[in-house]
Amino acid sequence: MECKLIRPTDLDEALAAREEYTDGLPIAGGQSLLVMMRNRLISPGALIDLEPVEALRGIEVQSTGISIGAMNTCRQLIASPVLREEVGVLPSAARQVSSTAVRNLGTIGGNVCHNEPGADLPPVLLALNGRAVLRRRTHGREVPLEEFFTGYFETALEADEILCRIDIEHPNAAGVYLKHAISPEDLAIVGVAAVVVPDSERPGAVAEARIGIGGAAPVPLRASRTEAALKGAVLDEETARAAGELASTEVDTGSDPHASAGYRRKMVAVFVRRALLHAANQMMGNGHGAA
Amino acid sequence: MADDYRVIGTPVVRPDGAEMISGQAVYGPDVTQPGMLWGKILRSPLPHARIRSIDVEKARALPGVTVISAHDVPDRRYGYAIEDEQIFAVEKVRYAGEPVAAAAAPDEERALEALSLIDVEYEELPAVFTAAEGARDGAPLVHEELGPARSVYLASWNPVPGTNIIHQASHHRGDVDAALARADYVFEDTFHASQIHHCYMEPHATLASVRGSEVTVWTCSQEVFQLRTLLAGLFAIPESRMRVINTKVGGGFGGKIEPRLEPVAVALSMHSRKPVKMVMTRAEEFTAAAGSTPATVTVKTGVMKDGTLAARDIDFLWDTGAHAEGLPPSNRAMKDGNGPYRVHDLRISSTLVYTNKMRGTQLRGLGVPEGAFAIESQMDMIAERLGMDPLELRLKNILQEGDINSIDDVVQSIGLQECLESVAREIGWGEPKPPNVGRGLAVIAKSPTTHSSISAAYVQFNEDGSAQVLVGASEIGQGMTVVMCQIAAEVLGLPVEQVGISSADTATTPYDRGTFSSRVTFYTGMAVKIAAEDARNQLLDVASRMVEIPREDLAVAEERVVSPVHPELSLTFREVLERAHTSERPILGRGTYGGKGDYPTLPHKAQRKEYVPGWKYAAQAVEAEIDEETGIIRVRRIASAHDVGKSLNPTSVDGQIVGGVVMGLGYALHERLQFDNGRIVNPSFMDYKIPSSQEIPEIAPIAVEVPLPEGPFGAKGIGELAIVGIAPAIGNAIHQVLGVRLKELPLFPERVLEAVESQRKDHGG
Repeated sequence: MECKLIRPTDLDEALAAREEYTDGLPIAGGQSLLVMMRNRLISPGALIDLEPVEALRGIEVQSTGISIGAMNTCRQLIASPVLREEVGVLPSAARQVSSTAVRNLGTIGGNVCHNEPGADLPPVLLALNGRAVLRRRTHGREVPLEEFFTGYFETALEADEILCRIDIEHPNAAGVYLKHAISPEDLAIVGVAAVVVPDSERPGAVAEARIGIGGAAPVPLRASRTEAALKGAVLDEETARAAGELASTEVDTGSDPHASAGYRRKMVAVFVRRALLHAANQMMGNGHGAA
Repeated sequence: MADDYRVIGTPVVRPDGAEMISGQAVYGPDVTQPGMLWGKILRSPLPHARIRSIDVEKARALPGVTVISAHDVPDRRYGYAIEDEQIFAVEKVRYAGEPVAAAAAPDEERALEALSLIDVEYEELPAVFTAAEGARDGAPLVHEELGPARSVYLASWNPVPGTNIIHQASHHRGDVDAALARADYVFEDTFHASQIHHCYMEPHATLASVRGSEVTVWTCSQEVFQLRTLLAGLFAIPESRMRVINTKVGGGFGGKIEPRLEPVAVALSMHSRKPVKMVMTRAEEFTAAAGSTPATVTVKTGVMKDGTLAARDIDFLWDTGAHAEGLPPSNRAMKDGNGPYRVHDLRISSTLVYTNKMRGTQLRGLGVPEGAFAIESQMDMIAERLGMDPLELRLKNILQEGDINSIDDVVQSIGLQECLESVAREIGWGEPKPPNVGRGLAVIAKSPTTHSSISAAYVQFNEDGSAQVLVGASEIGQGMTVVMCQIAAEVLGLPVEQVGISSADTATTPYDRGTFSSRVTFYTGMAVKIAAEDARNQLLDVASRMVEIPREDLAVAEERVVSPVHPELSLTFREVLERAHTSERPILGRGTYGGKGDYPTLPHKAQRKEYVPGWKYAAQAVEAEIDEETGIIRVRRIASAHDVGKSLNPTSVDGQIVGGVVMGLGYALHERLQFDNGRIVNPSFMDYKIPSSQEIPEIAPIAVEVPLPEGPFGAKGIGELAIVGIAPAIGNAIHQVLGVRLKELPLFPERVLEAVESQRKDHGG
């Protein structure tokens, strides 16, 4: 089947092409898309190459947070001094995405829009209160990532939209991402991101803890009941253990050739506990710490 | 070791290395021919079904497309072990993935389009998916009758008529039941080895070209001569008109021994009258090529209080899938199943069962890994019960020079104790370690290749004094070509760069049984050595006439003919060959070497077979860190010591050991084909996990050299054993840390955790 390659020079052209080619798909790094095409899982009539679109690049610090262009590769996230300084958990997760070759080409936007269970960036971006900045030719909108990830390999992205940026909060917080996979380059059987915001009034306590979970369920999610239970808590071994147990009840786990649903649920408990303690240590260790 | 070889034992760089790492090597999928078509196979989606009808008319209507099914090919059965297969399914399909029809077209897309237009109507039949189910009375039959089927492999095969049991045999010595009754302790345990895939990086690829009465097949095969015989028989043409040319082979591991694409490609080429190329997709590899032959192994061992092994009764139940390619491993287990232990009263039985799944075939170590997982796991269980150190228990019972082994041969040339002691030393056996770290050991052995293990070689001098080796064995990545060049160079007094080699082309190279079962270094190596000696002697004959010095007083050294008796003599090879090529005759050395015995049915002594040299021995040790909460096992170090007789090329030996260890690591920890009602649900490298560079631990390869007098320069085979002991050694390390015994492979985290939890329940925790 014929597949046309469209190379827009700016965002307007890209959005126009997106509107025109209803059977087309945007291509970012192509690390998943091309594999799916090769395996005949999808056969788009056109590929709209976002590589030349300057508006989708850059990492900008804003007053409320950081805005990350969708075309940043994992390699660029890892290398960004701003991210390393302000939200270390994101480059640290980017470093755990697949292999070097994939990290050199695969993008944050592609990773999020593909929404493959076990992807490493979604849990971290969820825990950073990430928002998807979407545009269509006529107008734009913003969607919190919790609402963006709608289903198994499904997102809120409409057929004429392009994900332009992901905005994350600029937290005064500590954060870690822990991954359980057979090989480090695999998708996560369970991937847990924990971001803890210290309580400025009470040393050792957390004002809030945010937990993003990937791999365990068809859709990456926030463990919101666990987060609620942790507001104002002191994160000791006991609290973290209870939080892990609670989180494991929030996840609708599934089975696949890598692990059963039951095992995944147990691993959510273990990894949430470990991630929280790790983040709490980081918070105590460096005063506030960078998430 | 004090020997004065120039080339043997040195780390000569393989001559084909540069082309391989630079991407220039021509592998199976790289071969092309002008005007060629692409062939694709339509495969059964069902594990067991009657074929009501096949309608190929719509597909045939496509321009430029050739479509064939069972009606269009010879109605003959084939198979190396047992002739139980046809090119396309006839009347019924026996596994999901079985070829039903095929199409050839100018491009792959068109061939696939043609397949999509073929209508096949199936009527699903009840199926069997495990050996235990298959062996049950009244189970649905995979092959209702095998009619005139015969076994090429076994002189006497022993099927149980009216069942799925295709072969049953046992090897018995002494009085096992009485010895078990006398033993102080009797251990009985059942272990399960999973079905893994060979995972060669290069998929099966074949190009067949039928021109006039000549058929040429380019393919990536471990055994070109076997393949030629099979194809010639199948299509009823003389072997002189059937040429099989091996391409570079990107890994075989036992998975490229039997025919896969070749019969279909030849048939498509015959019908289309054009060359036809076929390459398997990775999904086809996982679902329709073959895997290992999985086994359930029950071991009953009688032990005396002092740790002496008194008796053993081992029962193997093998699941061969829809075709009996599991016969060689199931049969080998009777020789090798007991491992390298001194046990007088011994019974080993083996049952091979058909099921409605993709076939199991030979895979690196054929039959040894399955048995060793059981035996070496149980050895540690015995040691624990006796309060003995597992190292001591093994040292007490392993075979030593002069012992009688499982098949009544006198053990000769064995370096096993040295292997075991060196891996124990290397891994720090008995030294302090953190509580979450365990260490495990395994000892292993594999009997010689006996079945028709025949090799031939030519060694020919070129006009400039360099030499050419011709062998029929396949280079499958293992480094056979460099070792053969070294052997010839050593004998001929040439630098190794002056020796070229051609291999595995049935029209130009001499017969060889092929590359399998760690046999090439020994058998093909001996043929090359003999051929090189013949060539050298012929060269000296010519020289002798030239200089009028008796041949006995002449020798070769550094591309010259020299004489210890006449130190002034110095004749270059080139000078001798000029004479040979102008006024005498070209120099062509000839060497053959044959396996001495053939004892596929045991005991071989009863058949008056003589001792066959070439047992292979090894010991392995691992150190692993275990996370009790997650079941994650991180192997930190592996030591693997092999009695190689003589290391002909230390780089190649290390490569074989490291490669085998990594494969063993995957077999131990993660690899398994997963089935849902006979269909494989993880047919990709996303879902079937082999070790990546990131999980590979520090590996210490150790070569122990106890020379084999019959081998070339004392060498033994090295190809297979490194895969074998990793699984039991890791299982033993897990037990050391967690106190749980895992009896089913692979040892993946979820399984480890389940074992920990069920132990907790048992202890009321």
